Amino acid sequence: MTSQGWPVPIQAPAARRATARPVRALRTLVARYPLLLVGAVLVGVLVVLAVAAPLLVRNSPYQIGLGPSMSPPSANLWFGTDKLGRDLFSRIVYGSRTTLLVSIPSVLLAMVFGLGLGLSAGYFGGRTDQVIMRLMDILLAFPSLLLALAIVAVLGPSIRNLLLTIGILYIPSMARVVRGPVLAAKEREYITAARTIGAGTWRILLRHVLPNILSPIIVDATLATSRAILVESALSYLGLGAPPPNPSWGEMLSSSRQFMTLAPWSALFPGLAIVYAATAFILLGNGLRDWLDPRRR
Amino acid sequence: MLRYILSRLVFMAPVVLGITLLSFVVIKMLPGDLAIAVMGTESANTNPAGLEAIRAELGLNRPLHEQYLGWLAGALRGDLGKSLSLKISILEAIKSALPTTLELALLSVLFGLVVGAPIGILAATRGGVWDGITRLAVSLGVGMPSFFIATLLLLFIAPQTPWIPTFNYVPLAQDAKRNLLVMIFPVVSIGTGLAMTIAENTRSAVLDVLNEAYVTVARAKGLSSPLVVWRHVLKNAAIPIISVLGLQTGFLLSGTIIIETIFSLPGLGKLVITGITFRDYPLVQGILLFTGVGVVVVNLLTDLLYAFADPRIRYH
Repeated sequence: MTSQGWPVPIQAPAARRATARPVRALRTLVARYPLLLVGAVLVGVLVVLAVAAPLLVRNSPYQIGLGPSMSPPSANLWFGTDKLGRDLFSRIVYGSRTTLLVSIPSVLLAMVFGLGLGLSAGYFGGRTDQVIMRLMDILLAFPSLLLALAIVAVLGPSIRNLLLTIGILYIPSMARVVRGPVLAAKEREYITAARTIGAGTWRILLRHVLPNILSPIIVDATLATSRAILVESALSYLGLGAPPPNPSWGEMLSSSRQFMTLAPWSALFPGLAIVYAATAFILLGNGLRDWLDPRRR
Repeated sequence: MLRYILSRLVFMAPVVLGITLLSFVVIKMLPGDLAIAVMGTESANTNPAGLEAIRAELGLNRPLHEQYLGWLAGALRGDLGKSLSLKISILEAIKSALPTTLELALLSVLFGLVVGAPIGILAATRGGVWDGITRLAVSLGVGMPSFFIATLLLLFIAPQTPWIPTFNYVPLAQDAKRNLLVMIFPVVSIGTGLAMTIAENTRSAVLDVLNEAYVTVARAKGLSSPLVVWRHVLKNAAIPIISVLGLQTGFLLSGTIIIETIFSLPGLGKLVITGITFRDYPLVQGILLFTGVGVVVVNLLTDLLYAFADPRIRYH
């Protein structure tokens, strides 16, 4: 079996048109799916913040005593200081690193395992399907925050344990998202055709089934990222997030509790950062859904 | 219907067994000695006899499978062991915490329905600007963690409303009025996200039903729009909305953990945080088991309700 498999690769357009086309295509895309643009820009800003954090802040997020404890926003300390006199703006910008470092790898982990399990369950069906989906039901039975709390409390809070725990939590929903379309796809003519010309199981799964179920997976992964951000911040709010001195939004919000009425900014900025990050991924996910998967709108 | 119930129960058995196994294993993943973790390294070093006593109490000297089977047999009899920090039976602790959590969860669902369903109906029937606003509000509401809503309420609303007590919980049976007042902020904190999820699902459920032939017939025979929505659309859209609510049980319980901690409500969430703070691992284990099985039972009940309301499901 060589590369004459189906579908036939699309011919590359002529070079002259290739420069104008992406721009026009992008413009049409943005005009038809404004949500996609909004989400992409918001997520883009978040990623830039995380990557370029050292270039964006004036003070180190770890430096203690930059100003008096809980001082209000000023020209030098834009968001004021925290309990230890650290620059809150720097800590929030660096906090985006903690958030993304936990949420994105955990969703990737969930995606890899969810894909494997969902593909096997949907394609092989029968007993394999039963066993895999019942295992997923077991994980789904626990409230996600409760299970995450218990696991992190037992293993000890660290970035690695956080991303492993949150990743495991989202395997079941990913496996479910994959399984459904696989069940539908495997009955289609092109799969029968591929099987008839002698394609092996793995080839069929990877070349023919996977490309046809990518859209819902991408959409779900984006939405799962926002849920991962919320679980991470909830864990860190409860004191089981990335260990200090790692800046983490949930921890900043909870440690501001005792000073809230005197220094409301110390609660508002970290909270808004969480809302921003989670909403950005939700908007991007919804925009992607409108674009890639119009039937599910 | 009976056959359907039986088949659902058969499906449930291995899942419940898996839940017991997972609740057991999670605690056993603790690196190092559980007894030392419970006691603290220092006191374990100075008090080897006490350490041995804790080992014996937790049954740590027995092989792992015996520990599991012993724990499982106890759980079947309703004996989850004794809490190390509270010095009472774990089942007793759960029983006294459960009413608060149930009240909080039910009131939040009620709030979510009352706020979310009308928004979803408006978005589906009016469309246009309403739809856009709703989608934005839904994204924001889902992306807003309950603990931040609680923070905002305490910062901006609580100072204006001195008649709403924010702390000092009293049980419903003792002082119903005060109890309900204390519940306002916690319920709004959890219910807002839920309302937005309900709005989103109501919107799509109503949109689905609006395309049905019987709605066209109702319109064709001259019924007014509100009457069509009320009499023909809502009744049929209610079923998927109910099933979504069932699936939200886990989300709801996750919310109660953090909100009970913020507002000092003596519920299950507060209990689990106590267990974690005091390294009371048997307590955490018991709560894991209890909630896991609880969620499965609620999901089963939702499925049965769904099948009862829509006979097509039963013959699937």
